Amino acid sequence: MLPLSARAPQVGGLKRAEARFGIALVALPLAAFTAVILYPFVDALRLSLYRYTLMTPQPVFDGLRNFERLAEDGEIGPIWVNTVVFVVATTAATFVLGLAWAIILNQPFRGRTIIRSASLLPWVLPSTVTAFIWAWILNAQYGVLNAALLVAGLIDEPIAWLATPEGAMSGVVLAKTWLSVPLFSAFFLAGLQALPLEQVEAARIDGATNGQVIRHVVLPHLRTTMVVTLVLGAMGNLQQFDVIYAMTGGGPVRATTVLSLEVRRQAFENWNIGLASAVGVIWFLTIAGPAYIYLRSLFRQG
Amino acid sequence: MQRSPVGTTVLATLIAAFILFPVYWMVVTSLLPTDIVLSRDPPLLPPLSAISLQAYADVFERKPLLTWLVNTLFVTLGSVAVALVISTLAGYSLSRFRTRGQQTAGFVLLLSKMLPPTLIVIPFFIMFTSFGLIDSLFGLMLANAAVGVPFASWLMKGFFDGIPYELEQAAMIDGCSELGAMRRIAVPLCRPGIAASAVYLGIVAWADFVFARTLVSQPANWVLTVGLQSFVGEHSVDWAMLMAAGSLSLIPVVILFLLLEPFLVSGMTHGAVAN
Repeated sequence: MLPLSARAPQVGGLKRAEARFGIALVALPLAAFTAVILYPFVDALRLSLYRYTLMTPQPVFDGLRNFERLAEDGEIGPIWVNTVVFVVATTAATFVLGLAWAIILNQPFRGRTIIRSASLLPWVLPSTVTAFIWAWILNAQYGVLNAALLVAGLIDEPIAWLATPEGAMSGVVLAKTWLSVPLFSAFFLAGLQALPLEQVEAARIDGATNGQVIRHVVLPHLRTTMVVTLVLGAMGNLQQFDVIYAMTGGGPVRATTVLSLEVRRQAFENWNIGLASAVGVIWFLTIAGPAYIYLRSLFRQG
Repeated sequence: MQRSPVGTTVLATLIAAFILFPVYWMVVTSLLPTDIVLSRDPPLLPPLSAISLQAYADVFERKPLLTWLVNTLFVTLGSVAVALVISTLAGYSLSRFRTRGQQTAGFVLLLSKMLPPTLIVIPFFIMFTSFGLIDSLFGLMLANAAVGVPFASWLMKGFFDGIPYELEQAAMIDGCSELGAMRRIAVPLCRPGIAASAVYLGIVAWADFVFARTLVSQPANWVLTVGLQSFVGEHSVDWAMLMAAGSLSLIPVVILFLLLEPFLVSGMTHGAVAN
């Protein structure tokens, strides 16, 4: 045993050793992360300033020429609009449906656990599988949706959903919404379950109706959850690639080509890495807005 | 809300049926012969006498489904193992040591959520080409591990936060090393977190399409999601076969999901919303 007086400085020493240990632990993943994600990402941004195609396999500095090319080409505008339409429609639909589903799942009823778990299934499906299921449901000739609408007398002849610009956009929005509702409702449910029941009961005793309880008690309580879910959802939808690519390939006539598909097309079909990176920069700037809101709300909370 | 619980059960069941219908429809399509599948008014309930496993037999006969499954399994298990070790260490550090270094590291890791895989895959492609990792399942494994680590680290941090540090301090006073205290005390207590991260990482790798489509070209190295895409031919799609393959791809995920669902949901919501 050390005398008491000798122990105090050692505590300080321990703290320093602990801190070093902590740094060491995080250093490995951080180094790996820098090498494998961050550096490649920054590199991709840098390449937007270079001419780098199949014809010029060694990148040549080209200033803002790639961005000028995009502007002259005139296609990036409609693609950006497609992206915004897809993101806004999908995020809004998922938000509303996910919240409604979470409010129902938060009620006490028989079979709740099973129903809650079962309804998470769309989320764990590989997204290409999701895309094919919906392509099949929306199939012009043999799709079950057309069959159902015909039987119900809502349409007179089958609609070629994925062959028209509006139909294809609705189709990919539908598929992605279906895919994301489970995750959104899981978030909302977690938020709802943290709501103290006393507050609801107090409001009830004061004579509040269901609608009033939801508006004045439940929704204010869910504020943070809603912001985070909304932003995370929007970011996920901005990054969406698989479902659209497998379902429509960006067609018909580019009607569902969003930024993610355009980056890929430029990079791996036209083999124009420089131009693809320029599209990537525009894409990243579009994501940066929601990303900033997300990080700020997280860190304010913490 | 003033509905009786029975009413809520009925309502919830109806909605759940609606949500699950597409999956049901996939399975039904896979079990029906072509002439029924390709009809104008497909039956909602499959006539029991018409059910056949022909599409499943066809899939195994005409497509290397087993190869795809094995490839997918290899990539998934490998990337889960690699990413799990890394993110456990990182999560522990983020949770236990709140220095400026850790905070920066945490912030940088979070940032990566904003980076779309479709963009990251371009430099991956360039890097992998120069390292000879292109067209290799090992490379694909690394790529999937790399994109899974950041969020998994945050998940683990959340779970470690729930374990009092005093436990490890006590072990250290009793002569345990720091690494030993982590390994013997914190990690075993953190099993739910490890399970949640494993499921998250597993789903990421199992469902990956962008990397698999881009970093691998040889059909022998295809994974399931890429293989499925090959069913969509230039002229026609064999829907029954596609739905059969899709149904099969569901089995492993569903098993994993049923086993680990409680951990997963708590973990996902924990990691993203409440830090």
